Amino acid sequence: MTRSSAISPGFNRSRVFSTDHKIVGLQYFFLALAAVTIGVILSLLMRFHLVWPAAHLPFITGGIMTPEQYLALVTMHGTIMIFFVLTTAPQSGFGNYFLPIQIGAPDMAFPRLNMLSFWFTLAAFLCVLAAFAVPGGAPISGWTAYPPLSGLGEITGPGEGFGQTLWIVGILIFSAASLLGSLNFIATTIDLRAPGMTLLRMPLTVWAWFVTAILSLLAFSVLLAGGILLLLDRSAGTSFFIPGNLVVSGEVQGHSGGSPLLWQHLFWFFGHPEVYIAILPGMGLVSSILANFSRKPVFGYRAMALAICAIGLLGFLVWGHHMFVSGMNPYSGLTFSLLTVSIGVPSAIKTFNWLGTLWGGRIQLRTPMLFAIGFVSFFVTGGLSGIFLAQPAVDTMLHATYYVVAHIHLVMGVAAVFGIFAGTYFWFPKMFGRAMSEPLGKLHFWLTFAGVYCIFMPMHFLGVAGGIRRYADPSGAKYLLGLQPLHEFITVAAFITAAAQLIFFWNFFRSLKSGAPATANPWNATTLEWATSSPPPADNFGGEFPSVYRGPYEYSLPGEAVDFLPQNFAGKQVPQAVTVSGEIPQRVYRTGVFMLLAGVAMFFMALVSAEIVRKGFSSDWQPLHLPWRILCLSTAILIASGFALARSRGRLRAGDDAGFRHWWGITAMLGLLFVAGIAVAWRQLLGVGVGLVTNPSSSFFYVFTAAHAVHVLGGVAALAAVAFRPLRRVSRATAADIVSVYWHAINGLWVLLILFLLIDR
Amino acid sequence: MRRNFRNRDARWAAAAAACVMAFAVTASRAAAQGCAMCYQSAAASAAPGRQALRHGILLLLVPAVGLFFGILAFIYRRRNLTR
Repeated sequence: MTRSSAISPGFNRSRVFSTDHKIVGLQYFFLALAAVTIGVILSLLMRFHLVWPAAHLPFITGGIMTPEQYLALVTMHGTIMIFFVLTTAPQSGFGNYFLPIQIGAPDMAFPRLNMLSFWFTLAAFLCVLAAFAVPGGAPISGWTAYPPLSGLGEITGPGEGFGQTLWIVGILIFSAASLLGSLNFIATTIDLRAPGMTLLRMPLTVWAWFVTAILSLLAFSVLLAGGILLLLDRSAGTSFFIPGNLVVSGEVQGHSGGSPLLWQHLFWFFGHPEVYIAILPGMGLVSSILANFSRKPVFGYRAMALAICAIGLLGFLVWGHHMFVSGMNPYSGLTFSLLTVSIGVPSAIKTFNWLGTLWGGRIQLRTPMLFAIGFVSFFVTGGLSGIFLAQPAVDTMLHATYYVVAHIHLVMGVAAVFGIFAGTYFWFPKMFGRAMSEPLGKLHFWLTFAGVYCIFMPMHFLGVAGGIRRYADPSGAKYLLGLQPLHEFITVAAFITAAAQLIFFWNFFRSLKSGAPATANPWNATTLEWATSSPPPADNFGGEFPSVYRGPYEYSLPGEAVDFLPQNFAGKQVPQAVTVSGEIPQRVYRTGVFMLLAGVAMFFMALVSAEIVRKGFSSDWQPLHLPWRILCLSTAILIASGFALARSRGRLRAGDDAGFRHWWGITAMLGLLFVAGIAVAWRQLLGVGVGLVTNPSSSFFYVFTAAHAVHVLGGVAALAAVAFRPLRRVSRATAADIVSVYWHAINGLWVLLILFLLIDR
Repeated sequence: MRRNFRNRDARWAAAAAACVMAFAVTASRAAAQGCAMCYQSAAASAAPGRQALRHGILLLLVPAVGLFFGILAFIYRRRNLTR
């Protein structure tokens, strides 16, 4: 079963709706390029307004920016940069293009899913951008969308109407796309490695993309759950996050007892891993580039791989440090503070190992190397300011000041962007078969490097001096007037730095057309992408799939004639005969469904966690009298469907195709019957006047059952697909296997949910 | 000679443990002087609320960490299994 992506006739199939991971990677890359252009323009408008608030500006309705328009720019700048640039380019862009090639695979594990995740991401981007065009404009609640502001509708201000709804829908679509993308990355890394590509021979970029994919899988599931609840608060009138007796513009709102703190927990549980989703791929890439241009192996390869895992793990444990001023138990604050500081350990390991890689090397200051060194510089500078923010007492003073803005921009924004630049200059010859201009690249680096420090170092002082972020016009407060010259300096630096990016764009697009032709391995690098032509053929290796004989960074080994040994160079070893070539092992589908279920589990755990917090904080919780009879009957039907499925698989194993289809069909029918049972339960509840918004317990019941019913319907669709559609790549046994794993897991999930509802009574 | 090394290692380990203990002792004091507003706010909330928040945090934390380790264990089990 070779990849059909090698045969992709027509422009639409080969360039637009292609399943080739390289095309998908480039689509993500160009999407990020468009997004970063818009994001930077928004930031320049903000900087200009901060210094000259009365000036007429382009793209602004009415010419002079209102405070609400300024806040809309803040929201959209943060959203576009974080989701569509920092998440999209290093992971989805470079990861899609290079992960399969670096592990010697012909494509990603699930190419169609890959294409789908890109189109979902594009739809999400357009959805978020559309917020500019609707009445009221873009939302003003920041990229964190804190309720109650984000949950009440247009009564809370322009942009909080349809614009905020579009924003939430866009983020939900983006979350779904990220989930699909991440399970693809994980399955590809686990199951599609070339012969000889053991874990400790994987390049650090692969380690980084793999751990980032785990973070995406688990974190975006929680954002998806939180986003659905927020959307229901806005459009259905539920009260998950909106407190009771809230008065807005003189009107008492009809919500009761919700907890804005709950949104903060759900959001930051996603939000902090998101920092590492943005930065980890850059760390992997910078490690490779530093080794390549120092002509030395990465110092402490194992420690570097472990540090990536440790940073990923700790990234899940520290979200509370974003909420030190939210009324947190001081002992929780202490725990989150200690865990936050402990991230310094793996971060320091990485930093010292980068320096160790450089130490004593034959350093070549080519453009990718300069950007990689810039990455290390910004990561250290931004990381050091983070240590102060990890102290609750200090954070209380610095919270919501420009100090935090400077910190996040240096460590997450600029460092990650320098990683993207390093990757672009490094991989451009491989992606497009041409080289970018070195002199222009170096000019771009020095102007950007100096410009970024001129913007963000003074910003720390603004914060320490009490400069508050998100003020549209700081000159309105007397004590902030003295900081205006610093604002002016930062704004001028921002404009110069933005202008320097035109050099990059000129270099990039000119080189696409008329850059010097690149050889297969212009940097004398060792990893597998340099073992194939530039750009790589459709199946990545022209039918000759490589075997791996050595680690990823074998530079300047004593006794060797050349100063680099490619991973596929056998040397004195006898080359292994590759018999599987471009085949995809069937086990990858099982891995994929396990990863999907991990995401589903996190989604439901987020909902359960939300119910527990909401119940504990509320004064309006009423026990719900559920229609237990119909629920028990539905549960019995679902359990019976599990037995029918087992019977069906037994028939398949016995070679009885008719029996397989018969029991397979019964399973699907029982699934539909279960959903019908849930509908009857809803009808009974509605009949006694208990709707979605009646009280929080009923809201959660409807959400739980609807979410589970959607998963069951997905299972029914999968059953139908296996029964009626000819399967091209998957054998029927594998398809039956993965559908049953999914079905039994969803059944088990329902039993747990019913038990939870029973205990919660 | 080896015995001397062991003794020296033990002394270093004891010194490191003492440092950790010292940090732990000072850390609890730091909590007391940490954030007065946080403390007041937390103290003002009802006991069920504080308990629910603790449980809610754990319910997010434990599965995430478990699944993270689970996926790492999954790839470790297949560390030598290639295409």
